[in-house]
Amino acid sequence: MSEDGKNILKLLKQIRDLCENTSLLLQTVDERMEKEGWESYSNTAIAWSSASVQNPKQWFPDTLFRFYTNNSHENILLFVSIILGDDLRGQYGEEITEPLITAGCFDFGRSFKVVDDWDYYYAKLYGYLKNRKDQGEIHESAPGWQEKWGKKYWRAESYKCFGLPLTSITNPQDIETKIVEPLLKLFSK
Amino acid sequence: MFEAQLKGKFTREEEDLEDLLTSNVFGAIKYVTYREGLIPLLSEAERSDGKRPLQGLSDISDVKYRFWPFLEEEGCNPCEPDVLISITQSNGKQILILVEAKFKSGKSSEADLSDKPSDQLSKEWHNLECRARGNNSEPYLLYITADIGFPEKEINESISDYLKKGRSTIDILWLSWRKLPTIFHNSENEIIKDLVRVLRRQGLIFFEGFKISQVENFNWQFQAGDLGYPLSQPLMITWSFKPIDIKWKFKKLSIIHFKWNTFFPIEIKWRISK
Repeated sequence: MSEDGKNILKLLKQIRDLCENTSLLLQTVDERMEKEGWESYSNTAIAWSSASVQNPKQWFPDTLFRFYTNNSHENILLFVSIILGDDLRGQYGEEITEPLITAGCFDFGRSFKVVDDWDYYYAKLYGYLKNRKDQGEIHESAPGWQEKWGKKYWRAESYKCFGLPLTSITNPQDIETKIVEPLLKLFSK
Repeated sequence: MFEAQLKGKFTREEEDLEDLLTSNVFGAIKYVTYREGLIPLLSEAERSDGKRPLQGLSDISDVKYRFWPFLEEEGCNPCEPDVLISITQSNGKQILILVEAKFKSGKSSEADLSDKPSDQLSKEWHNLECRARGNNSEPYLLYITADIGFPEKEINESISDYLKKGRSTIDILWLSWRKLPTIFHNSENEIIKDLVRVLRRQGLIFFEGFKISQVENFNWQFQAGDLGYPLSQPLMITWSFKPIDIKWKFKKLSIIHFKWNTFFPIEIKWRISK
């Protein structure tokens, strides 16, 4: 076998290993969130993938995600996502220079339930922001953000989110202190 | 004893069989000393409150393993748990541990309206309790799954079935398969070392961070239009069927307006129902 062939196999194996590690990370978040009373929404972790021979760039996902709801807080939607690269439509506010883990909270307002008024692209929220530093700083929606971003696509009244380099998460303790705890504080603030 | 699996001789479906996993784990610990296998495994089994009642287990004088025994105690629905472990301690005390193992599937039976416990764990506990009472043993039901955290919902359903049918509560201990590579990672025993390799191969670990090793660049790329190998004759494709005249036509119902200044140019009516 040629060296190129071996290296292609190595690369593919590493992609599968990356998927397995990411799955474990997200399942660990699920488990912690469930302990806090937040139910994970389905088993889905990817979207926008394509099986078409004409869309090879969409064969591999660019974002992995988990969403969480809570019957005691029907207007709140929480999420944790992993952004693996630039948006294929080129709509991110800044270039993604390394994989990011992001988390956020959408507040649909007191008179409104989350129900069906959200979609998987909400997991890309952090990517759409400008002036990110990716060091865990909290970004909040500015007044009138829905009008600017397209109200029919973004139904929530407000959002808060943060993002970190994915590689800064190296064990379950990091998931707890860097993701789950700050995420729950976003909601309670 | 795990060579075929370690060499990848099984299909994914075969590797995912929970009976194979059960056999690997309990078959392996059956052949090593209690101190090397059974005691460390049982020590990590926990209740929902995090307590580990078998942590101090020692002074074992005898252990008997029965794999997939059929149990049908008087007044109980029959069941077939994965393993029944009878432990005799040096002081004569008897412990009876029923193991129910799950990997990629859930419980095999749920609560029903009958008067006997029918949920899988509930009826297994019912049989275990009756049997333990008969031979003066202390009963424990050990539920082993691939979950990352305590499977509260499933266990509460079983407890609820048992309580509803007029009985006292169930003492269920839980352990994750994922914990075994950690429990046994320092083992010097060759059988246990291989067991850990098999478990890791099956992805039965907790999150351990990302490990990306160096991959050399490769220069391969497909060049459209270049077949890459010599052909003795030009490639010819001939069509031997007569095209059928198709009357059906797709009727365009509406014109799609693109709005490039918004994130999502097309309004998508379709949604996943939640």
